[in-house]
Amino acid sequence: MRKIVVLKTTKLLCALWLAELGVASTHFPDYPVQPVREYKFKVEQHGVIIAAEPVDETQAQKEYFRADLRARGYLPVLLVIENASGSEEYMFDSSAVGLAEGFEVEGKGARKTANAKTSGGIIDLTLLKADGSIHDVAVRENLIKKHIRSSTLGPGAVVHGFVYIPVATEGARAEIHLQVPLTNAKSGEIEVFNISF
Amino acid sequence: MLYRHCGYALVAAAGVLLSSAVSHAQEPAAAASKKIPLTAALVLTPEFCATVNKVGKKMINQEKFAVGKEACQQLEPALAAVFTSLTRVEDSANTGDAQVVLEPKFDDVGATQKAFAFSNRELVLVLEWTVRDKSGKVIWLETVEGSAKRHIGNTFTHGSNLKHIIEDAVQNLTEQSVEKMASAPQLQRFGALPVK
Repeated sequence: MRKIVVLKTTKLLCALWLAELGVASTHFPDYPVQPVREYKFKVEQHGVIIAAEPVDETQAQKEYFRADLRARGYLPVLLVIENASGSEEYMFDSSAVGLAEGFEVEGKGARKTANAKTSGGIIDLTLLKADGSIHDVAVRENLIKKHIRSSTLGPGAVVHGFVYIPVATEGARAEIHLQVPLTNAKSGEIEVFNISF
Repeated sequence: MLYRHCGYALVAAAGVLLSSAVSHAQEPAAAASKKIPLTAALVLTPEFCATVNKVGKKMINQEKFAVGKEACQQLEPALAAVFTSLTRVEDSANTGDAQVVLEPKFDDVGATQKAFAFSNRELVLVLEWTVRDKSGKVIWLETVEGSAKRHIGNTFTHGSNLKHIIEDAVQNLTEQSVEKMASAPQLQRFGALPVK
């Protein structure tokens, strides 16, 4: 009798431990970042280089975001910004990043995505609510953690992170024209960087 | 008798060490370095102080993290160590004669949900700082991230653990803010400009 109780308790503990491992296994690896000049899509103005890398592959989305984001109606795009100018300083405001041409998103899940757009047409993560499940909350947190942050870029400084662009859930992806404004800290002038991919 | 005296000595030594550690922990990192010679206004709006992050499903497992309230308690005394003068205001339109206006904004916050009482979970806070001069021109923009890890706790300890994870994450966020602001060359340079 005692043996059975011990056996059952051990089984229960093992089940709990395995379940815990399952929860804990929602690990999100960091997306690899290369030197800015090595990216295919890049633009250089006034000594500042901005590169964009769309993560189109479902496999890569599942590896780094643990979700098929295209099926949810948005595409993660890595932005790498380097101030390679010798002396100028630039301010990057992540909320100012937007699309040069807005477009309507169609397909399953489009309404949820459409309701979570910034004035610039990209996804506002604060408006993108998780469905409450442990997995979905973790996916959303990871999107937030990987989001590019506002920053003041001194000479030589680099900032990188993701923006999330609304896309159709099915069919070929349309070309995206992204606008990234940077403000020159000294003159106050705004430089707009256009990058298409 | 000897053992009793040794015991008292050990307790006293531990007390001294503990109080020393606590006082060091409370000492803002910037206090040791030179203050930036600027008069600053810290804008803590009622909306900012009321920021509450809700995680989970309503009526099922929703938790509320009152991060704004905690941030409004911790930011002012910590940032007072960075500038020669710091005034707290509720509205960015009423900053008086301040040379710089500091405006924090929660970017987004999130807390890892874990299924079991013995699981560690993490609270991550992201705060965006905008510093403007008198004319409203942005002179510094930076994002800081603060986080803390703690057990989710059981029925009896959950409330206390929730309170502590918020306190710890905001403390970390405040320390990061102080460090970044105190070392920002843009603010240092602005402070070195002759007063108009």
